[in-house]
Amino acid sequence: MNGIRAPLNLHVYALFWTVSALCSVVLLIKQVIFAQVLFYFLLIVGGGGLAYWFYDLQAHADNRLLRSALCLGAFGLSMLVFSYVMVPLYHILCHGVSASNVMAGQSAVATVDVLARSYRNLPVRVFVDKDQISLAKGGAEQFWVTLKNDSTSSQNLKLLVVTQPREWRSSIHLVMPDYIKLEPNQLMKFPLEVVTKSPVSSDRQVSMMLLLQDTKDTGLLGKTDSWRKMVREYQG
Amino acid sequence: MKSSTGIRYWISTTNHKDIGSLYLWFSLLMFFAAGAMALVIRMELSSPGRVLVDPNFYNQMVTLHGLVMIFGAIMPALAGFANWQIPLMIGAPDMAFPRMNNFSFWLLPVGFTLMLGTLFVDGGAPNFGWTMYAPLSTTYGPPSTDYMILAIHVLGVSSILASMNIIATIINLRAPGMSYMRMPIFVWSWFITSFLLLAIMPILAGTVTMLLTDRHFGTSFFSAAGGGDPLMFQHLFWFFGHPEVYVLIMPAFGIISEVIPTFSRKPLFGARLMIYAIAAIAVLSFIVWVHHMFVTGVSVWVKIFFMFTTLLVAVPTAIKIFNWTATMYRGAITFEAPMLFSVGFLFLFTFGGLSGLMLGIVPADYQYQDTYFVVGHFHYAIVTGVYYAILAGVYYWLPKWTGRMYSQTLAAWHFWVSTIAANLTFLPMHFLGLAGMPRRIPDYAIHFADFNAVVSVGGFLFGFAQLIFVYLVVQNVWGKKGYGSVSDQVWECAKGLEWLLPSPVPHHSHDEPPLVTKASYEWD
Repeated sequence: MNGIRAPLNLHVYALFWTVSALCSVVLLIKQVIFAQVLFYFLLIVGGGGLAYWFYDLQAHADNRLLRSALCLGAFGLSMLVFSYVMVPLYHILCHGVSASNVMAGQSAVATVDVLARSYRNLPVRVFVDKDQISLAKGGAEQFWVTLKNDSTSSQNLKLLVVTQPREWRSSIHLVMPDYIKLEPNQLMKFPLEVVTKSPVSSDRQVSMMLLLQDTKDTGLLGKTDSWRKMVREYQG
Repeated sequence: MKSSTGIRYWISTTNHKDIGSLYLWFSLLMFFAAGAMALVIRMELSSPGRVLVDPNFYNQMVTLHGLVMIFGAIMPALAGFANWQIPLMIGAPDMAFPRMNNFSFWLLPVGFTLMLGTLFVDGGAPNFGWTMYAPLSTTYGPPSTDYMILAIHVLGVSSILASMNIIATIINLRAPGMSYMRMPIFVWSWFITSFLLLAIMPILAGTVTMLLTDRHFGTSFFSAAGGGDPLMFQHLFWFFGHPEVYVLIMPAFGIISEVIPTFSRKPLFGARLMIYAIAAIAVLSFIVWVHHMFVTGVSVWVKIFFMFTTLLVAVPTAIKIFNWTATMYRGAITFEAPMLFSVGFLFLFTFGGLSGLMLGIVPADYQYQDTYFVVGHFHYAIVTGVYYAILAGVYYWLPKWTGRMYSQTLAAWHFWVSTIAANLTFLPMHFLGLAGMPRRIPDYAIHFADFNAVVSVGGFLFGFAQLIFVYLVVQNVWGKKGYGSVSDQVWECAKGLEWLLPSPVPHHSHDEPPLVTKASYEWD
């Protein structure tokens, strides 16, 4: 075994941790209460266990080549983990921890750029009557959204809202229809109200995008055939 | 003794010289595959309008040319040198993990079968550039993107194992008396490069795994609609991508540092400083990545910081350039093929580095970003930089490996035709870029036509010049009529443990570790 100790309890530990991690991911997806805490707990315990295993292996390896390989392997593995750590790190460093952390005074007014798009090749055009709205805490702003169905078939649609910074999404409340049905060539106009729930920051660049999507989720990531559509479009 | 001709021998060989040769031959094959793609690109751009291929296929060629050149040609060529030379130079009988070494190499053909196989997949090969930016590679990526991701994983594992092997070899198998500071500069350059590789390849693996889960498992790492951010992909990619550039160039520095003293007949000027400079470049390479993203909307202070760090890289790089120049100063220089390519490297890589400085300046980058200026810049750095160093290395060590000399006249022809062609190809790209021609387009405005015609002619000429190189190598390795056998030292002033071995180097070398009393750059 070249001095490698692989005690049974290590395998049991690894198996237990893997099953638990998978279960916690499922619970997380199902949004079960405390699933997030369980997930991070397992992540830390698992990471710690793995680090200990590497340490134990290299400490007991009687061959210095093997010891080098294990140390280098651990370094490589930690860099893989680091690539995932960079995801929350990126959002913290580049977008701020949350909008509330950089709040200005209670009376601050934020200017929000409003954009509207229809998702991928949806044959519906969408317009808003205001490019920018100003929001203060507790304030409300209304603007009009116009939809035009350019196809000869009816469209079942829903509106998604994306904000930049993304933490901003939780501090505003939009009064808007859940689902919209557009008949062939129909033009529809409806008001949309934005209410701010928490204090706003006036020193940040904020934008809000209304994303129109069909209710069948066509074009969602992983379910898309947009590459084929693009090729078809190119070939005319 | 086993026959060295059977396929089973080459599949199962664990000898570092055999594996080094496999890496080098594989790399040559990939050079020609990716070079053929470059010629398709240049043919398409030789005149305005659609000439040869449709735009989608053009994009596929651009993507595969970049990926195959970097991961299939340049990196394996440098790994080939590492395999051949490191054990010889440090007095080791072989690499630390010979079987892992074999596995590292044989992962490459698997990875590239997957990568090149994408050309035959429905929807064609990946068409979004070697940078794989999301959402082009997620939402709009063709199905073959998944093959490409798997290929990158396989190649990543190969690189990680190879770098672990190199580090373990250097740490554990040095001959008695070979302290770290006595190691040749080439070994130092690979030592630092291996750490760099080990640090960045897992980052790339993690990033492409995120692409995969975004494409198929409902995650939204790079999708704004799901709370992710496509810009984050660029950060992650360039956190890998910029050090990757140094992974390519640092072993090239090592080769040049071996060649120039030999043909200047002088010890390397400031050898220790050269080592520190390589280490400094490696450290700095981790804090410059945002210079690839100056126009993505990052804040002004971030831009200033990264502009500063980018310009800072010029300091250790300039130290190296000045030291090589100082080595040549008042040397008894002769211009054999390795020296020709090294001097070519010195001039042309410096030129590429200077245009890099221009790109590193934020307001200037606003003008150059995504134009042919960038293409010209990095081709000077990679082709007349890294590729020239590889050629210098082959011409330098090939007689030692085979025991036979090659034609210096033909090699000089190779150098001059390559150099004229490379300048004809890459210099006008700067003018095109300054005039506003964007990169990654299959067609262009009529006023770019003349320079593009020149670039295409240069490209084909460069491709032709490499046939001379192939002829020389094939003739040297297999030809019956050689240009005479060589002595053990081969070159008059070649210093180091490898030159003490017989020429050609025996299959098993340094069975008894030699005793080292001084560094190869310390001359009597």
